[in-house]
Amino acid sequence: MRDSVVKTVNCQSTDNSSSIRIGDTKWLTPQSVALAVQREGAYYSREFQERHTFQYYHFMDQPFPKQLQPFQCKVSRQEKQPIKVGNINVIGITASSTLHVGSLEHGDAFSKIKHVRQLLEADDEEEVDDHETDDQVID
Amino acid sequence: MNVKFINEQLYVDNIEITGVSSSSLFLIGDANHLQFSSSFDTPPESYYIENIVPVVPFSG
Repeated sequence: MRDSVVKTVNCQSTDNSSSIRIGDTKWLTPQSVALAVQREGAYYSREFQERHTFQYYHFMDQPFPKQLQPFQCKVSRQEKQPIKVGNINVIGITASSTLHVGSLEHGDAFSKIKHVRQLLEADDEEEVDDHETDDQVID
Repeated sequence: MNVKFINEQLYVDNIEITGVSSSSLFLIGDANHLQFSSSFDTPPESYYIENIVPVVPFSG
């Protein structure tokens, strides 16, 4: 593994369990699950909160497709120079993301985002029960 | 199976990033094994319509 040489890192913000890491890492397993509800009128009741939970949406239970198994092969490296970077300028890192300076042995990350928009009324569309609509989304 | 890497010089002067998001990784260095997954469900597919009367405090 090569050395990484960075002159400056300038980051404006790190949000929601994101991180800037300097140095070598053996395991990096960040995970992010988000349910983003936007509602017209911006009125959020207790009943509304209880109805919009992670288990209500089947999208959250669906597994990711299986990826390739780690493949065993003989790897030989000949490292002549370190990785050199001058300036890094980042505006934002968010939702379990990582800015990593240094080598990484294993990285295993996942992210799930479910967006929900609730409008007060439709112009010409037929009004539907939200359970039905949710099933349609899942299928 | 044998794989041989010869890493010559790598020099980058300036990197400008707007955002790193949703369990992503911006890496300066070497990595042996990376496995990243992401799924999202975003409008217009997830629009649904409800008939709600917003409740506001009575004043006056």
